[in-house]
Amino acid sequence: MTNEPILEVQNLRYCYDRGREALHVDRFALRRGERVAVLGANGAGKSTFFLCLNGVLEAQGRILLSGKEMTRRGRNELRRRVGIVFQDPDRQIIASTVGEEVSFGPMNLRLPLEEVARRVDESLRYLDLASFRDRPAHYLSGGEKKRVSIADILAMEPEILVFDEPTVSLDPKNVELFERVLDRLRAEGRTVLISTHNVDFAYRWAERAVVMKDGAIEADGPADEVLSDEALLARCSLRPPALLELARLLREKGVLPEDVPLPRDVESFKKIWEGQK
Amino acid sequence: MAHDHNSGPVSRIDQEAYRSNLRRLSPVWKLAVSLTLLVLCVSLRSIPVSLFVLASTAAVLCLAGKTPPRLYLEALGTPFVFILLGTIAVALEVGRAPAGDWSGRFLGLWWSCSRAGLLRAAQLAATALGAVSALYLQTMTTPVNEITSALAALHVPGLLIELTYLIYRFIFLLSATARQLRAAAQSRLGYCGFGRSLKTFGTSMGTLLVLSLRQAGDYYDAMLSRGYDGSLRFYEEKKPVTAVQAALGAAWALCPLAVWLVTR
Repeated sequence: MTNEPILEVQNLRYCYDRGREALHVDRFALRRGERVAVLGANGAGKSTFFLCLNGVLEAQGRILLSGKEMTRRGRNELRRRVGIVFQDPDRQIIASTVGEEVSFGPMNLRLPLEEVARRVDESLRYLDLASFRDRPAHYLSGGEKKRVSIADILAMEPEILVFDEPTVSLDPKNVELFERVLDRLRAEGRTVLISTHNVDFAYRWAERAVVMKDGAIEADGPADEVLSDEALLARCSLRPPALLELARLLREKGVLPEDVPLPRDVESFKKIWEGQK
Repeated sequence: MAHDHNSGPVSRIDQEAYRSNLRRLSPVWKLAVSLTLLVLCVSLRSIPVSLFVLASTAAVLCLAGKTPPRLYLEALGTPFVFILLGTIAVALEVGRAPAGDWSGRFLGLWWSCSRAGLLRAAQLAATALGAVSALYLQTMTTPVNEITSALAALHVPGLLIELTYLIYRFIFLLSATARQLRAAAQSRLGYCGFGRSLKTFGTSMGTLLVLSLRQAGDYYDAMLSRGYDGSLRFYEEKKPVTAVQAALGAAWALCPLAVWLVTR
């Protein structure tokens, strides 16, 4: 597989209502199969950035997909290839039954009806929603609505999947379900971009972290490096991941050896710990 | 699993439409039958015809559609009260002198009632009730998305259909927001006393407007990001009308005429 970026952004600028710039990203590139967490406090510009990537907001600057510049006319292609799962499913779900809802995107892609039916089937199955097809979307629970909103986007088969604050309104059980979906996407080598202010989640899941502040990218690099930069995190109103802090403390006290890589999740922490004994 | 904060009659009728056994029938078929029954009921103005429509739709809904009879009766209850109040005015005459077949003095006036007036009132009530039940055949078996697709099949303009669809979806979003606002105000004693209630209600309606405008904006962004280009398109499962269904529907819709001819 080539290492060419599938998405590239240069000098992206966006202003809401002639006010101050809400977004100014000089450079950002995404390679196939990357798992990127976009971190930042509320109002740091994460959602605006995502809406620009998908062509909903018209930003100044260049957006390149697989090296090809997207002009105004290419907006539909952006929407096809970059899919956003919005934060609040109630601001995304539009149809009255789950099946129709998931078909909305593929229908807008003007696919043949058999293809639409196939994609709807497939993404409903992917999210364990097959039995929900004829159910009204407005009577589902929060976690179920979230799954429907993910199926919505999977059915469009985008190359890049973008999740805007996916875990905010989910209970722990649904967060777990969601992470299982992410694991599957990871196994399939999909390119995923997630905005979050949950640093623990980002540390566990992401291989690369982007930190945003006041509409600009403040840091961009391997997740463990970015998330262990305390000064950076403090400047951007974030706190370091609890597990990382704990592991560092144990290392300082000589409990954990220096040469073992810091654990990314509780499971690997356990393994290191048990290896110590 | 599905939980439900709305348990008003309207939302229960809505849920019933998704659950009904008759949902798998073609929405066009249901629309055609229920409109024919409605038109016959209103135009023939005959008590036996209306009773036939009432009884046959109730039987089809409850037996074939497995609609709980209790829900059906409750749903019929509200219009029934209105119809009753309306027809009392038709049946009763008030004047300075006794008239009609029965009369009595009350509050210094003569309240009278005639055989013809009673008959007219009964006819009116039966017609209205029959018409409502004919419409329930549609509403209790067909979710709104299928009603709109039936309307599209009948070449109703797309704009109207999309508006219907979006308004339907927004009813649930708005009522959820309104409920949250109300609960939040109640928890701060916002509805304690008449004056305060009015003020709180006004303020929360203002907030609801602002919130729903913002929500509509977010919604539009989400639609755009999935390639919305000005017309709503969904994949619908085809529900063709079979020959047997067409024949049964036609027979059912013609029965009121037979009843009318026999009882005329």
